[in-house]
Amino acid sequence: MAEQPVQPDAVDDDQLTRLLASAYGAPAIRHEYRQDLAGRLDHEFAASFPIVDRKGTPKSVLSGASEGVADSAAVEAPQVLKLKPRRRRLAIAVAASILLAVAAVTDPPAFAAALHVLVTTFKEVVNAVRGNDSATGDVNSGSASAGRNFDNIGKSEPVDPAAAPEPSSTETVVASAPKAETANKEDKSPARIKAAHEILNQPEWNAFDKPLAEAELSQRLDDELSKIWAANGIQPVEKATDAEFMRRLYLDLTGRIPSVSEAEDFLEDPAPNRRERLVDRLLVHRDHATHLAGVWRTILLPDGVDLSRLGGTAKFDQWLADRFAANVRYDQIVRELILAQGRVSESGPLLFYAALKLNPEELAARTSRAFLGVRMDCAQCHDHPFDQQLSQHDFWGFAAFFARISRPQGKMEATSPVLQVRDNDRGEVKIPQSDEVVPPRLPQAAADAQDSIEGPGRRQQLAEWLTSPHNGQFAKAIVNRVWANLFGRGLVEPVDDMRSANQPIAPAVLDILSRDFVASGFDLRRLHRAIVLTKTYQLSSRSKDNDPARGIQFAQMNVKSFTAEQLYDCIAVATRQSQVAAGPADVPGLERFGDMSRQEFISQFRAPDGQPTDYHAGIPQALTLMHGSLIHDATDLASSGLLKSLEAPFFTDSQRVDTLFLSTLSRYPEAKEREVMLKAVSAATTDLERQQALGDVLWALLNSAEFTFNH
Amino acid sequence: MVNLNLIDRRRWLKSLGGCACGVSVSGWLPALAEQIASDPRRRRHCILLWMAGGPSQMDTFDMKPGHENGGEFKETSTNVPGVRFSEHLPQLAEHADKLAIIRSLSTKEGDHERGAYLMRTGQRPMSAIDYPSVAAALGKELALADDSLPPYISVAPYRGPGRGGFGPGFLGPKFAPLVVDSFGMSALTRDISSGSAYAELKVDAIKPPQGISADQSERRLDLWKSLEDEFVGSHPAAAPQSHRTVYDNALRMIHSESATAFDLSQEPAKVRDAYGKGVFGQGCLLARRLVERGVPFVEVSLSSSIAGGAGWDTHSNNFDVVKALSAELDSGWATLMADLSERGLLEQTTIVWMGEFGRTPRINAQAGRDHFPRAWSCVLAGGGIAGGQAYGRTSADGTTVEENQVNVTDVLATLCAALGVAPSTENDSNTGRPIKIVDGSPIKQLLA
Repeated sequence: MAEQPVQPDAVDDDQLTRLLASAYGAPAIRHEYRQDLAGRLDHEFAASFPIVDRKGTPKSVLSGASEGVADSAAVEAPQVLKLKPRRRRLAIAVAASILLAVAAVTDPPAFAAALHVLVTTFKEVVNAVRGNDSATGDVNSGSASAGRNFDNIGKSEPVDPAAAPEPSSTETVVASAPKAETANKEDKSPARIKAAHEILNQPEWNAFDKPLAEAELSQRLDDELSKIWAANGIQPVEKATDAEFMRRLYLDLTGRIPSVSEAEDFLEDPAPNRRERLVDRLLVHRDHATHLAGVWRTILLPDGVDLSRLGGTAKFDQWLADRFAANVRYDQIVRELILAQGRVSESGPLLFYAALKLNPEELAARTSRAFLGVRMDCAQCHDHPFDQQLSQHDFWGFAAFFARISRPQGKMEATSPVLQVRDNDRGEVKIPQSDEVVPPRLPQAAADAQDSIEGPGRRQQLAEWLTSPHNGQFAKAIVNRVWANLFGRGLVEPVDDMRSANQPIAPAVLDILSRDFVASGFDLRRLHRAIVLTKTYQLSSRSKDNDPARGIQFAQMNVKSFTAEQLYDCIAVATRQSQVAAGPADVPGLERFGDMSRQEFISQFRAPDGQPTDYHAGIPQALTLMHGSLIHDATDLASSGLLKSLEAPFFTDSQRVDTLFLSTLSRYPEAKEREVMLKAVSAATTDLERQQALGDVLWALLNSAEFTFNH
Repeated sequence: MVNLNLIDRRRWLKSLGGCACGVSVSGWLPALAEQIASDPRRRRHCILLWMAGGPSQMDTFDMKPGHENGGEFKETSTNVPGVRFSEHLPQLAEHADKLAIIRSLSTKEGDHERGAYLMRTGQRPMSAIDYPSVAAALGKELALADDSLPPYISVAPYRGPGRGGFGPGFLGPKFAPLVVDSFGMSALTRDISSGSAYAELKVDAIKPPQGISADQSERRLDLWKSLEDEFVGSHPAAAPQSHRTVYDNALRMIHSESATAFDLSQEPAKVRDAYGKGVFGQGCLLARRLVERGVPFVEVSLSSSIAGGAGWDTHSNNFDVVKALSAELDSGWATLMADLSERGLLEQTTIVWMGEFGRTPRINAQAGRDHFPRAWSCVLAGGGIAGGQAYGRTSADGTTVEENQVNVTDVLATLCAALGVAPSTENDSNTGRPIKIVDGSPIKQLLA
């Protein structure tokens, strides 16, 4: 294992020069990203050099830069000066290079590009610095950070969850970074090696003894986030309206918007607990199960593989959906997936193995990203460049658990639906370009795993360890993914890059949810329920100004792009091309699997996963939405079920417009909007023209940003 | 340390965005900008001639006359002494001085889909990463911020099941090609072969569907704008703003002068005839019109001849089919070369001719040739390419490469280099790992 830490002093000059140079050469990035990138930079900076909040100092040295103001005074903002000398140098140097880029390149795309490059590389520099220092803090100060304190809840003594000690707010806020006062000693101690394994090596992690009361759970999450907002001077936006909440919940839980009758049911429900009742109804809806199946398919199966050659994804989707519908324990689902055997064509979960060609390193990479939220594969070819916790041997020791699976002779790519997958007693992995065989070793184990005739096979040993209630990382990874699916960003971002140098926005939130999740018996439904019932989830996405920090810290709901699947399904539901079942889980929901025109549409609109707060479509997709047959059929009277239904003579035009709004935007029009639309409709002199005008309103609604986003 | 002078000057132009005209250059590099603006090579284009099915090298560019594998075609001499190719490419022979024929390409994929993926992405198929085609990546690299047409336009692409290597991969859908389709081919085949009609090429959905008048379109957009303004105004995050921008760009394109590129009826009949009336010929003409309007990457597929048939996948009846395909290839490609050259565009336009693999030297019992990736040919031409050469050599029977064997990544890297794009230019993949456009080395002898 390479024990060469990244030395900040050695890093900054060279690295910064490189940064500066590459900023100039960076590919142009869309203009609209400027604010967003600036905000991200702000955030990285704030997270790396925590704000010791006093007398309302500006919250970041870079807020000036985000306005495009090259003000050198900004570099001297007080919080930078509070840092240790070494860090301060780095901070100032980086800030200066950004400001230089701002001054030098006045063109917005280039400015954004510069920021982008600086953010990514700067993050690595900071992480390298922090990786060292957090180990230092552990040993020298003896006072573990709040995050680590919290890790220990329930370990030393059984605690009534209700009485679990609250981490103090200030500690929580600064948990992600060492205290500024910590003595700055050169760290050559074994503690760094310990820190190196800390993410995956948590033998003492324990869940709560019993799950928290549900209301208390949501409340505690809100409290933790409120503390963070207060400490960072962030003002959360107002609460989402019922209509906003409803549309968002339908999209997040069932992957589609509500039908008109579903929307009316909720909007007319006078019960004070109507939001809670809606949550409970949707969590058992079949569309929730099939939506989650689609989400997990993209997590588990690689993008680049043509799965039709392996018999398609229908069986796999069905298998997942059935498990989610029955609310099978998450640890159980993962065990079934990892231990699957038999013939690919006859099994749902085996597509996971077939799509990854039974290749130990690809299986290891996917498993660690999906279920541990860790990019172990970054150590595949060499020790992890910016994270000392993973060595090449760690990765290959992990991959060795997938080495003893029967696989076809010859070409690895020769997988097919008739392939048999079962464990056997041969097969090893080697370090690339060497003959060194690496035995299986769990990330936290002191010794290599043993192969024995009678004992459990390698996959069995892996599954046991992975899904153990004491494997905190397993729980944190799924909690973070569910959070990201609901908020558009994870508590740790990217969701598959959790490591000691990439700390959560709100460590306590991640921790409480993880401990509760395991204590509840890995109950995915409960996890979703707890999160969507927080006040935080129910914040609006509206605001007058654009402050990305709010979205990053969840003080405002992020505007999320639809997945291709969501877009297709929403058009289908809105225009009544698909019938929606309002009923419980046993009623068939949307026909999601095996629909060819849906597949065709998805292949045209599919965006890279993991970036829901970006809009990925371009001109070809815009043309399809404006002029393509899907929308045309939906807005043409001859083929549109929705427009036909509006023909009924007892409707007034005003009611017709209302129905179109409710069908698409899941809300009634504002008075002014209704007026604009009615004007267009009443200009018609014949029935045909009036029908056309209603089609025009529908067209405009389906092409609007409001329809196209989950907000 | 990094020498800032090494940074590609073209990048600078791009970073200056809308200032390409050189009038309103802001900041501190007016001299550089002016130099770029006056640089005749400031815009680079690529035209990919994609031979779907796998073209027969031994009946096109790597002839083996006299050998039993050679088949029935004769050679023709070209305007470059010593470089000869098929008698059925007589017009192209007059442009051989602009062509670099690679006769020593060797790959390992003999399946259509896998071969196409390899050739188009430079990556092995069935990878866990969804790689973009090099076409999409180059379109992205060569685009300018104020282009009104999309950076990658594909004419009559193969649209069968499984389209690995044809998409934008992890670059995302906005770098997907704008597809220009051919319509009603089966009905048209008869008319075209009888000489009465041109293949019809249309951008899917560039115009409102039939029955929607211009007035109605206007009314729709008015309603749309009122909704869009309200939402984007109350949700100032990046994504809604981008939505607005993308729609604005699409509308700008539809109504721009550039969009008239798609109207081939503006060309004189003589020109249209010279290119050939089929999809490929008209596609080459469209490619020229698009390059004239600044589109960085255009792809034209030749997947079946006017006479019908299975395209280049000539497992049987190889010689009749290749002869028919060659006729279309010859008129389309040669006229494209001549036209670009006449307009001074050839030196900034690089043309690449390839398919997913070559075909067996041995002629099978059905007078066909089967899939053969071990030793085959592709061609680079035009801007940045040292023309007038045949690079590499196969054995007398055509079965092995004897000299200067090249692999696909080197060919694609050479293409990048000819276009002034560093093959090592990285894009962020959604796996968190930056990925090079091509992981290969340019072949120096092929570069001008």
